[in-house]
Formats: sequence, C-alpha cells, structure tokens
Amino acid sequence: MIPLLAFIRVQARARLSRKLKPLPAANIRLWIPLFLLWLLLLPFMVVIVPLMIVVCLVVRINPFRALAFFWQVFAGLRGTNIEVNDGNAAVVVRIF
Amino acid sequence: MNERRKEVLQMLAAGKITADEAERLIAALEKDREAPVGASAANSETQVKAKPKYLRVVVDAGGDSEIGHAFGGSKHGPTKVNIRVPMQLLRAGVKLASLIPPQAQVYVNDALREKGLTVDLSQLKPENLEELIDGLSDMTVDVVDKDAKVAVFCE
Repeated sequence: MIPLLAFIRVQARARLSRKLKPLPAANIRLWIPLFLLWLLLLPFMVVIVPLMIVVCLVVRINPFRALAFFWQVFAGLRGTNIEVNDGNAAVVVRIF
Repeated sequence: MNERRKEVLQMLAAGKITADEAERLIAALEKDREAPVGASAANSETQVKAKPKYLRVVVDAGGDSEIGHAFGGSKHGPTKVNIRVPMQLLRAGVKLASLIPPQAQVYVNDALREKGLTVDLSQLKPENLEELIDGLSDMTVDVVDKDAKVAVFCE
C-alpha cells in the first residue's frame, strides 16, 4: 500500500544572539494528504512512465522490473519515522 | 497425584468403570496436560521466528561529541536521533541496487570505498535478500561512548 499521509513537525527555539541575526521561534506542524498529491501527479505519469521505459531500454534494464522495484520502494516508505532533535531545533517526519 | 487421575482410580476401585475405560480416561488426561505445554512451545517458536518489520537507529549524543557533530548536532544541546526504517523499504532498496548497470556499480563501489565502506554492490542480489534480512533480525549494535550512545536494532 502506498503512503497516504505524511506528518512533518519543525520546532525551533528563538535565537537571541547579538552577533548573529536574531531568529523568532518556529513551530510548524504539517499534515500532508499524500493521496491527494498522488492524484494530482497521476496525469504526469502518462509522460513519465513512457520516458522511463525508454531510458530503461537504452541502459538495457528490464523496464517492468524497474517499475516494480520503484513501486516497492514507494510502497515501502509507509511506516518511516525520522526524529532529530539537537536541543536548538527538532524535526519529525512520519509517513503513514 | 493428580485429582482427576485419583477420581478415575477410585471409580475403578468402586467397580464403576472397567480397567480399559480407566486406561482410556487416564490417557485422555495425559493428553490434556501435554497440549498446553506443546502450544506454548509452538507460540514461543513463532515469536522467535517472527520477522522484524523495522530497522531502528537511535542516537543520543552530546552536542560536542563527534557522533553529535556527525548527525548535525550543535553546541546548543545533546543531539537525539530516532529513525525507523521499514524492512520493506530495505528490501526494495536492495532490489533497486541490483538494477544498477555493472559499469555504474564500479563507480558506486569506488565512491563507497572512498567513504570507508568496502561494499561490493554486485554481490547484493535479490536471491540473497531474505538471508540478509534474517541476518539483520539477529543484529543489534550498541555503541556506548562517554558522550554518546548509538543503538541499531530490528523490531
């Protein structure tokens, strides 16, 4: 199953420095409905897929195998979770 | 002695059941006693053999430590990294690596060697993939430094 939703959170503390340019605190939370994005990108696939098949044939790779593997990578993204926190900023990326 | 077995023997002594019937009842009681043990053993075996779903990388490093800097840490505080990668993505990645043309694999291998990773991509084949994933499920890497802790494991 392909990823349908992504969650991105970016938290940054305010920078109150005299030497560097001061930066305000940031707290961004984004829920991205990926299924809508895929629907929007679907028309472009009509162009991308034939182009990919041509490229695969040029480099002598089975295009159907390549497409299957790309699809697997795409579907495998579901469940990915990345959290990084360095004390000054925190970033969370979750793919559902 | 088991209470039920005692009851069967008492029934036999009282003449309520024959010796054959008593034997069959005792055999049935023995079976009942063995079944839960067997079931729990089978459960534990499936638990042991359950395939991992994710590869986890957990880093807890001090801001000034080398590992902290490697993960983009700053002097503002400790760096904490928690990454969960689905095994399915690893599988697909290895399969995708097998699609790299042999000419390009030489360049990739050279680039990896420059970074200190002596990996031969031509040896990564989808046929050996399950073996690799099984190997990963048994793998746990724990690095404990005075400033940093790194754990790589499967769950």
